[in-house]
Amino acid sequence: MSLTETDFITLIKNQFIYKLKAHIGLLNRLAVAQLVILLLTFGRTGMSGSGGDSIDFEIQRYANYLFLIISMMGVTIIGVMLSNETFRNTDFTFVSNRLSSNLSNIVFLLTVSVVAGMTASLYGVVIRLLLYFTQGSENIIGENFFLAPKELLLGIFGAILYMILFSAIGYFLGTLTKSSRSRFLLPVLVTLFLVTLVSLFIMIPNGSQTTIFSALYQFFAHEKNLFIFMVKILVIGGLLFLGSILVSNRREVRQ
Amino acid sequence: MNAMNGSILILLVLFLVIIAPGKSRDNKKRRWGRNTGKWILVTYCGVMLASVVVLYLIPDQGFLYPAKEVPYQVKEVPYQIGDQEYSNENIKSIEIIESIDIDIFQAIQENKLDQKSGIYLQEEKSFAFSEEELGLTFNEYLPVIVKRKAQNDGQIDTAYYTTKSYIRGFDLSDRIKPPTIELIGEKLYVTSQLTEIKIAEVEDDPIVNQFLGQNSWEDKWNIVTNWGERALYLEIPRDVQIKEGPYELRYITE
Repeated sequence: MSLTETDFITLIKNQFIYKLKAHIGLLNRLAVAQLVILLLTFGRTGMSGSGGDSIDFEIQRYANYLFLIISMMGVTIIGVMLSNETFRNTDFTFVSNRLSSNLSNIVFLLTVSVVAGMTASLYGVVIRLLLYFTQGSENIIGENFFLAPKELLLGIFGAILYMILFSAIGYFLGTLTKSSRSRFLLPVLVTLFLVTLVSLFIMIPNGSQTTIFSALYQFFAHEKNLFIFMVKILVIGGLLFLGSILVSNRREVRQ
Repeated sequence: MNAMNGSILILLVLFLVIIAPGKSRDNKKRRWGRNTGKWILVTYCGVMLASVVVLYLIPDQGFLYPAKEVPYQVKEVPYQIGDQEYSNENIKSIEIIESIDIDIFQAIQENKLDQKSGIYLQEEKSFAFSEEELGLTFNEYLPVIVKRKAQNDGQIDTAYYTTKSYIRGFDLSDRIKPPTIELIGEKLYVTSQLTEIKIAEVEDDPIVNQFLGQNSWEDKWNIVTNWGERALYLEIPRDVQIKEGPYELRYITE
């Protein structure tokens, strides 16, 4: 017990700042993952062509959704990692309890989500610049090239909300499986989740399948009202974070 | 990149970059200085934000936009993958139902090769020719329009005419290379050149599209093309004959 009485909010703030400094590498890894995707794909998502005997025509498509997917998965894994024992050991640097530890983790995850959402969305801009400076305007379709500020901000804001949801899922999965005795449950669950996520985003063009995953996908990805979407994310994300706190408290009592 | 390759790539990068390094580097002695990680991240985010400024400085000049008027009409058709038809009303697919044909032969015959005709001269060449018979060689089908001159001027005049070509609504006629036309001995060699056109399209941000886009998804894989008409026009000396061959000859009559 510390002799210094520490305000709870200040404690969380200090823990968060400490964690941010200690785990800045996780954010840099996410940045490296985004850069690797850029180097490997240049944001190219597909190609369609047409032609005759003497004409060969190709439209190459570029988009930022690979960056969004890798960032969603990245924040999910960071969420899982934060619930990991070694990462939790940083809590012992401070006088803390399970609640302050969880809350500082959540604030850290929110920060990660902001950085991941912003950068993933801005890759749409980076791709545009790369295209412009390498291929020239005469080889680029102008229709979607220019982004209105409203679209840019909406993209960033929406991406941040998605990242919050996925970091909450990761943190919940990590906390839940930590309370289980099985060593294989976490990797199995996380792998399943990631594979499902990729399938949903890449393989289902219109979400027409009626599995539980596609229903969940439609619940979020087909919501066209930004405010309702935000409420959905905050409620579900909040419940997942709350669930993580409750599960980890239960685990502490049991241990 | 197909869906499977995309999935594998993402999972691989994720594993190699985020999961595989584990937590050691974060807690053990750092290889770099204390603040290096922070500055790398700040620089990274700074560069990303600066890219927005650069984007807004790019002038909207020279980009490809669909032609305001096209000589064809399109209609929506059921979405297909291969031979299989999908009855998904959210997916829009289009095909040309009616196009306006321009007859180059008729335009030459009626001497109406002006700008309004929609026929463009892409290449013209003249060759001195003193033989009695002219042979033609093509590496692909090309209609030939022939006009016999009133005199024997010892010269063959060639002209390559086209009408506009539209690919997904873009007028890319200027990029299509005309054939090379060469006279070797008594043979005129007309060799089509391969034209390769590669254009880039930035797709909507899927998240922006979620809130601002339409419910329907356009089938962009189906590229609607309207290739222009083309013809080789020859003016030959009065007494020169053109050898019979596997080509279509149409003579201009006075």
